[in-house]
Amino acid sequence: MKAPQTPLLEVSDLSVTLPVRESKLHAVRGVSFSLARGEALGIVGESGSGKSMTSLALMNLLPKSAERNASVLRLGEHDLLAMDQIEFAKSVAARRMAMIFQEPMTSLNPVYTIGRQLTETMTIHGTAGPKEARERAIDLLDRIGVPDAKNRLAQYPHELSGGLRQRVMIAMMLMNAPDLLIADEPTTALDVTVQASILELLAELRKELGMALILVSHDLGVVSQSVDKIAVMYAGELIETGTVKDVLSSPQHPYTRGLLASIPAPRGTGERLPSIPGTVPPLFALPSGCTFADRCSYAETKCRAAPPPMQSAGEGHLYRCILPLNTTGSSVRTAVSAKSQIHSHDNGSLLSARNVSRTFTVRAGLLGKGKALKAVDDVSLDVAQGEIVALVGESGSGKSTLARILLGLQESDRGEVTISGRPILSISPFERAKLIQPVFQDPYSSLNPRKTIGQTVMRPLELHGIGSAQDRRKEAERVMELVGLPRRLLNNYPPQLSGGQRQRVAIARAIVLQPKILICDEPTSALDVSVQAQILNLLLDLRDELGLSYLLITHDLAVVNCIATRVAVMHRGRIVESGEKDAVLRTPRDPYTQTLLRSVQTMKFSANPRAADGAAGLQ
Amino acid sequence: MLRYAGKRAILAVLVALTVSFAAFLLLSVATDPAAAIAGEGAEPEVIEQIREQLGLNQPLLAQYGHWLSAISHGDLGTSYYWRQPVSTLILDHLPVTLTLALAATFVALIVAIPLGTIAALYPNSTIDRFALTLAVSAQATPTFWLALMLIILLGVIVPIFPISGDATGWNYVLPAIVLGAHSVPAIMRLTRVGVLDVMGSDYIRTARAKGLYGYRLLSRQVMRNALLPVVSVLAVQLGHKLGGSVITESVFAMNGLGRFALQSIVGGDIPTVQMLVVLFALTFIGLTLLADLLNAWLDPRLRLT
Repeated sequence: MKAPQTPLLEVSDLSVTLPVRESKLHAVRGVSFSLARGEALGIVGESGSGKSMTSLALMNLLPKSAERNASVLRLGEHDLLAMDQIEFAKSVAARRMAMIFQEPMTSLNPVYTIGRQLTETMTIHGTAGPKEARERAIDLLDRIGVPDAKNRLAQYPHELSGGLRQRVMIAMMLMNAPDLLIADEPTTALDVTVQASILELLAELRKELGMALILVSHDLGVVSQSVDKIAVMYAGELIETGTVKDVLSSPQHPYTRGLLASIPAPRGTGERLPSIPGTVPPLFALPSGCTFADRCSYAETKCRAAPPPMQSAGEGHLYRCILPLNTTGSSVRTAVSAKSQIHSHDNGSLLSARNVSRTFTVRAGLLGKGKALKAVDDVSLDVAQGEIVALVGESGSGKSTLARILLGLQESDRGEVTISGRPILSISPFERAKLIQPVFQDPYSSLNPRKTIGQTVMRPLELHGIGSAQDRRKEAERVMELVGLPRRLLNNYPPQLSGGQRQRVAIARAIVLQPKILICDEPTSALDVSVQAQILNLLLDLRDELGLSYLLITHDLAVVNCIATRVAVMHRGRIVESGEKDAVLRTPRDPYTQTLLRSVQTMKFSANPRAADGAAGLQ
Repeated sequence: MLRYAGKRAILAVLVALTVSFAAFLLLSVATDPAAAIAGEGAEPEVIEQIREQLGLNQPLLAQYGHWLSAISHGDLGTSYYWRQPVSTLILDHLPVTLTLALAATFVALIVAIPLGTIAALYPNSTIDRFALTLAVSAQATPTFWLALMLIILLGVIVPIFPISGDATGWNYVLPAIVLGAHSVPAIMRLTRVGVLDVMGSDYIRTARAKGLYGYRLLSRQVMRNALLPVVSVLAVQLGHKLGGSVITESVFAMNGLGRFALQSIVGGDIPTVQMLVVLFALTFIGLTLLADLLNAWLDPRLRLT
């Protein structure tokens, strides 16, 4: 690194505060970093860590009420602090610094053509006339891998797939060849196979155009593949920063270590994942000590006394922790269960689907002709007692339709679903509820916000007329304990709970009737990594304690790796491959499974922190 | 787009036929035209004769067919009360109502859309509260009271505008304000909600990241989306106005369709009332169709359905 060269982006002491009702939320505090020309920085953190706020603050896109402060905020020769909104919009936005967003579905204006939205980036700045801009748009789309670029210009966003929209978005922001591109979770909303291609594209473009990149993501796998430097954020602070190699192979901050350990390992072992207890706290008051202290198993009194200053662990590798971690081992409480991990699944099939098909008729308008869409096509599937079967597939593969059929919520056109040998449609809904229960993806919308947790958990018992009110209360308390929630939460309402707690409530509600099998539809994809590990561990614990079986619907192969016993891969309504987990994941036979596996963003420098920590850290 | 337009047009025609049939029944079933024409105390034979002459003894559907074909040839029947062809009467009164309706809508739009937009851009500001107050008061003010107040203020105390009749363009100013004021609250609040909604959307964040701001952001990215819901409401509002505003036309002594319809109803002039009903219904159907097409033109996603 050449020291005298001035960096492209210089950020020093950046803070963002948001007024929330009476108090102030300190969303970002004291964040400093710099970026050289052509360099790529990954900002990693869980929700509430302030990573998005940091990038929005750079782009002048904070909500109106937010307050931004910094001692230095400089992009090349532009002093961003001295600029007002209009100046920034005129000379920096999309010309020097551009940004792409998470949601390709909603980030393009639905009523204007792609062409208009692309060329506008140049015409409004006067960097090109309409004709030149059009030519550049076609060139860029071509380069970015949008087939038939010329004719695309006349199309509207809704006519493109999510992946194509994200490409259009990238092209739109590259029109003026900016020096810096900020990508805020650019692949989170996309399917895995598409994810990989977008990341590759960003890396190529970066090299080609000599552009600097800030990649904001919650996914360490995604970030480690495509950047030079990593900055880990926690509760609004930058807690560790350094080269990818330094941060991933010798993480210094306990949180970074915990985060790395929580990621389902590439080669899963079916054992419990180490997890960090608790969630990222929102900061309304400036902290008096280390913000991570409450979740850190090494915290000492001095940690809570004063905010820890940045420490150096070699050139450019900084971290915010006062304990010399190198010798202390893992920060992570690993809850490896002593119970037997072996489960016999020889006592026949509990849930079984035979040649199930379901076709929808898609009608084009009121008078249009119907078209057949095979959502589920001749699917056979078994889940035995104590088994965790993962159903893997991308959006639109028919997973959710199959789940509804298995739950008996929708009839199949052909084929049969049986639970314990009885056809599901012959079982009354009341009885069915005692055999099979769903857990949904989004704990934010699947719980009734106007009912207390207690009411939600006790409602199934009430419906079935089980026990007296007192018995039901006791049962609810027992189940709360099983899912690892304090009893006092029974009187709280869902909005007062964190995402992980809500998902625990959803599981409590599902198991209160003591069903034999749970169908979990993406149970962790709305949750942060560290919380995801907690929930996956809970599912394993419940299997051991209650003998539950699961059908786990997911798109995340790492999760599959971590807890499934068998895997079925679904593609366009058909099961293209199924078998024991190891067989499917290590020696996939179907080309689609192979593509899916290749697309997974595995960690670069895959230092398995659990192995690196040594046995000392494990309790 | 063409397919969408075609479908909408076919639907509109179907609705129009249904409405016209209902209007036709109004005359044929609710009253006995033959008896009415023959006059009170006429012999049953005479009535029967008239019935035969007019084809009233034919099956209902056949009569409806004749009626429709007559209308399509411009024969709207003859008014009992005014003793003139209904078509002439309608054509006499239509221009006044048409002018007034368009002027009132214009007034409503130039007040409601800018006010709603500014209110949305500065939510909870003084101007937002002023707009809200204005909307509530306009909604709560009876039309006749506003009309009388304007007459007193701008016609009598400060005599700027004429207060009665429909002779000149100036005659339309006060009625247009009165009638327009009635539409301001709905359009303004819809505009406010629309702009507020769009300003918070992801694609406006994208547009701002591109370097759009201020008026250019509004005109290039916001308004087209924000005004989609306004278009439909506007069609309904304009439909009401074209149906004639009885109160406004009466207070300002304007010879429009509203006052004419009132007089026809009071006079028991069934053929005229029937044609007015058909005319008002067709106006609504036509405006709704227009709004649908306009919306589809504005929003490409609608063209698919």
